[in-house]
Amino acid sequence: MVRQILVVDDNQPFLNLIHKLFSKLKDRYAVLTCTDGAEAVELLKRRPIALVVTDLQMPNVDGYGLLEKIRRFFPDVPAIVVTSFDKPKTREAVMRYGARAYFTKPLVVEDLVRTIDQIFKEQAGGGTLKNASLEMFLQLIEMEAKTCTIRVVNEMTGTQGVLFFRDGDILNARYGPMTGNKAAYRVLGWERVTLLIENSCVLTRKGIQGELQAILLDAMRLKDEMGSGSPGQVADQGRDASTDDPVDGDRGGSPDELERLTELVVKASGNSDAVESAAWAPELTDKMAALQMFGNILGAGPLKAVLSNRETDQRMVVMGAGVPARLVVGAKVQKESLIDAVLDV
Amino acid sequence: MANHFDDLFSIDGVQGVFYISDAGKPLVAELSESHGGSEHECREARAFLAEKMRWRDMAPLVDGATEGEILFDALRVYYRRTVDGILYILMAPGCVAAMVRMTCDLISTDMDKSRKTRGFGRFFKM
Repeated sequence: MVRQILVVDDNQPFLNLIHKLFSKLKDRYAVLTCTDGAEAVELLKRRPIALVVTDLQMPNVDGYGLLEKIRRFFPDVPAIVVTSFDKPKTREAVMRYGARAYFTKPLVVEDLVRTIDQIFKEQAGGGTLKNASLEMFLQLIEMEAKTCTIRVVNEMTGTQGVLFFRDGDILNARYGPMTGNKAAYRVLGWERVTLLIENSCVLTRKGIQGELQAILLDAMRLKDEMGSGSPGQVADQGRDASTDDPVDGDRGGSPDELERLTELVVKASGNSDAVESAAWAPELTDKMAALQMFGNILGAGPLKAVLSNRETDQRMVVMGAGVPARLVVGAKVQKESLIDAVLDV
Repeated sequence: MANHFDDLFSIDGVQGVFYISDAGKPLVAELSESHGGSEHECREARAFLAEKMRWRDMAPLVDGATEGEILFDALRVYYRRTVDGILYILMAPGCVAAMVRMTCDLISTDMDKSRKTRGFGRFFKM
């Protein structure tokens, strides 16, 4: 598996050199670069970054600020500091901020690569499972009261989520910038996954509501209501519908769910007649999957919806989660409020 | 027309422009580094989108539509049907869609004009 490493430094020649040196390791690592901490945080939200290498002195958000953000919002992402301002207390300070390693410039790249290798080895120290049943595996974790961090890779989309366990209790989940129950529901809705198990957990406090069983049940219920799966599972779902149970596949989600989507659009538009018609549109599943692929290449995150203005003074909205839902909306509905409603779903 | 594409990139938050012919062939594939990746990443994404992307699979969703938006969690893509194909404009959150739309109006008009001059218009004053 190719892991994404983010290198943050305001020194462009250094970044170019890192790119060049890591290009020899492109079968293992893909290097992304940026020049300040604020940009780095944006990338952490949007990309499945596995590790951050950062300088300390940078414009906007500096290295300390970035370490602080990583510790608070991306605790599963290890950070390594590379700096030319080596003072006695600097090393101590960055380790306190949660850095896993500290290097001074001039950098011996082999040492950095060795440290990265070691960190990734530890991240999969508890094993790697391909095409695992996530639900069953998590129940085992609970039964055996394990402490671990599980990185879940969605094989369909390449996106990644993280689940944190301490003594068998689920403490939190992360999916991009999303944490807590919302993130857990997203990750637990994935079907074809690879699991990387790390035998430790940096978190000590619970940041999620409910026990594992309740969260699993909620996730399954949400998945059923959305007509099988999160946006990342769209392509899989199309295949399942045509091979396993075409009748169920054609049915789409429940009428209640369709009504809920309609209500959201009506509420956002402030017009009770805003939605002219609403129906499930399984025939658009593959098209939505092609769009999701487009988004994946651009690191755009999950596809939420497609809005089309038609010549007939109507707008068509196709919602991206599960089997697509097609809503025909009157042209009087403000486009921006429609977009807000769709993005809130 | 090239100037108009430059105009698009001068709008804050525009991160890329793709112009795909009705046959599914990319005629313009530009991705700026501001979309978040490194220069190398941009090059790879641009190459993938230009050479391997199944554009025609996306098109039917746009059928019957003059314009619209594809909404992702972290990116909005404005699309516009023109006489010969579909323009896709990548917009970061906060990009003013109205500006993009207006510039696309100009591009569409230009394309329309250049198409008309392909026939007898090349030889006769109409």
